[in-house]
Amino acid sequence: MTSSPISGLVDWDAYVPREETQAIATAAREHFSSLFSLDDLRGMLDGRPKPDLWDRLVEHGYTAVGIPESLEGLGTLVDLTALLQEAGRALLPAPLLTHAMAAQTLEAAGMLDESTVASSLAFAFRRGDALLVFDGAAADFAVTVESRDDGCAMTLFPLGDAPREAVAGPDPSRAFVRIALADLGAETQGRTLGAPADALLAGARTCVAADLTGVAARALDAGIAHSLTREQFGRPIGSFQAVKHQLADAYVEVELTRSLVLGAAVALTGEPHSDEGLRLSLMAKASAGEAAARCTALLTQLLGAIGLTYESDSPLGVRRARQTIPLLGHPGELYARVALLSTGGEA
Amino acid sequence: MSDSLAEFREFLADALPADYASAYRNYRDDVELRTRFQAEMFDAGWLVPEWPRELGGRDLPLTEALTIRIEGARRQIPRQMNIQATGVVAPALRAFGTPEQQQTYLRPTLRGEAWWALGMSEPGAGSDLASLRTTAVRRGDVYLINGQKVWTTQADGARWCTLYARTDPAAAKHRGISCLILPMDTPGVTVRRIRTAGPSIETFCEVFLDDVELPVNALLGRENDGWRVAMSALEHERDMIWINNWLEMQRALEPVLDGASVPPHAHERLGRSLAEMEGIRLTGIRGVGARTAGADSAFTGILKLLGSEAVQNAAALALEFGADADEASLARFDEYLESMAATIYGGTSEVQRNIIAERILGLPKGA
Repeated sequence: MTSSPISGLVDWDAYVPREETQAIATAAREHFSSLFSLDDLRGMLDGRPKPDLWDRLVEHGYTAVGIPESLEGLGTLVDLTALLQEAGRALLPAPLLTHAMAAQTLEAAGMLDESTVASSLAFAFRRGDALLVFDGAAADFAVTVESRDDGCAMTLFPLGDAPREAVAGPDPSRAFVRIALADLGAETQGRTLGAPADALLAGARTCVAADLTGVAARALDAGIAHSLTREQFGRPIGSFQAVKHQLADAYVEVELTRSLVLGAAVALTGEPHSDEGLRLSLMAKASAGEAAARCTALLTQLLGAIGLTYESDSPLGVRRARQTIPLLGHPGELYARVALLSTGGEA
Repeated sequence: MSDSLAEFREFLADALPADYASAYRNYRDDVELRTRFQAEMFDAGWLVPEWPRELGGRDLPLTEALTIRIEGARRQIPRQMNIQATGVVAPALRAFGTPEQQQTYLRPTLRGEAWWALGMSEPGAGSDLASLRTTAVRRGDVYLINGQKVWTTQADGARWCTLYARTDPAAAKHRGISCLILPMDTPGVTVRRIRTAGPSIETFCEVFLDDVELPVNALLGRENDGWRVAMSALEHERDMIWINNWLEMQRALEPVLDGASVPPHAHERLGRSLAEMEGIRLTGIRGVGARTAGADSAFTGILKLLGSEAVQNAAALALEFGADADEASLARFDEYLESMAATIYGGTSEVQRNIIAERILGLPKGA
């Protein structure tokens, strides 16, 4: 078998749910729900300011999850993905995901240190003469990764008090900000690496996948709850197969995605630059993007007209999903890259 | 690497032809090899490695046994000739059989010497299996059986059959069914083969039961407890189902991955298929992990639906984009046709979706 994608050996213990992971997720779910209300997200559609939750998140130690112990971190990427699934489920309006993406990328490049780990980080993309910084309104540093002929280049930009212009997008609670490169100081740090960009980004991509899995799971659960209580033709709409089968398919997609996210996190924890981790991170992000799109759209459909009102929570999930799905590649693009990797083509 | 895995690899090196790894496709239909290999697997304890030694296993812990099975799948070991014997019947015999029944049936069943048919579907009872109408009427020490089964895979080659029949017509439909072990040469049993749509589809048959007499001790499990026997037999093999589906997908995608013939417009589909394959493997492993921790693993209930549909997708991809698109394409069509059975047998995808919605998601039963 020449093309077998995995070794025959399974680290079974890595897939046994750990109490510590569960404890992080359970505590985060409770805590996030006490930190803000979805009315805060609705208010931002009308230009009201984003709640500033960052210091409280740092105090609670969320930014330490998935960071090496040598930098006073705790837990693994598996724990971080469990945490980010809860943040996604809560539609948390705080830059936890962008910070995690940047921190994981710095760590993969060997550039995470005491100074950066204690800062507010954001993931960014270079667009012409500007940086588009994801959820970066208050970030101290931005991290970019760009492909080069023989690898990739990672750059760390101190943002200082450079002017930031919010970019209009579907979800203002997680907006990009534009920063002109000319407004940034010269003290950037860069590093070129021989590995392809996708290898360096495997951790960040797995983080996005975890967030989107949470967004999908929230919509799925809301869809199930609504189908149990809403009655038409004298019975709950969840008793109709047309509804049931859509929810079953959505559930299958969410669980398949959870498995891929866990597989990617386990692989990258074991060996940060492994081919298997890279491949699974592409799969996880692609699958999570599709699951989030499907589940949030399904919830809208099941709710009927009320799902298209300002008062409904459902469109907040649609906004969150659609703001996040394009990050680090749309599903179709990532699946195509998986195919190329597997057939020996150039990614 | 565990000692058992090293030992299993040595066993494979001895039991398989020297060129097996490179030429296993030539051995796909090698009946002699497939038959001999299963017997050797059993004799060495590798067929059911997690079973106790006295029943032919090796007493291995579940994860170690699964590592063995995954290694077997990865090495594309020869397929069993009558998969339901070890996959469905043997676990049921182990769970519900009397010591005498286990003594009589287990060894020839696991060694592949005696094939089994599953007497479940009827002309009026397919997805709605519990509405089956074959009757077994108790007359003293015997049951008198009348009725008809259909779509009974390999009934023409089977020595025995787990026959599901109604023993209490007054009970609610799930509660009046019993499972009986039927020797296929019993007077009154008539088997008629149904010609299949292609050579890759296992033969299925009609089985007519006219005044068939079976002793009362032919019961597998208690009288009227047949539904539980049927359901738990499927449950026991949940890990084999995902490992087999994962294996089938690897087999199906191999001609696609080995060549450079996949056009750009199909890259997305191929990547999705590969993600489904990995997702199945990881969901199976997650399920084992959850069970190891004593946690609920309801999500493993998705594996039949996911696996069968994913195998079909992979077979379609191979048919459309296999590397050698000339004379081999008929073989790939046959495999595609075979994959179409996967979403039908053992519970159709439609029924699987209902089960997921009702049992896992808690949605109400339909009208």
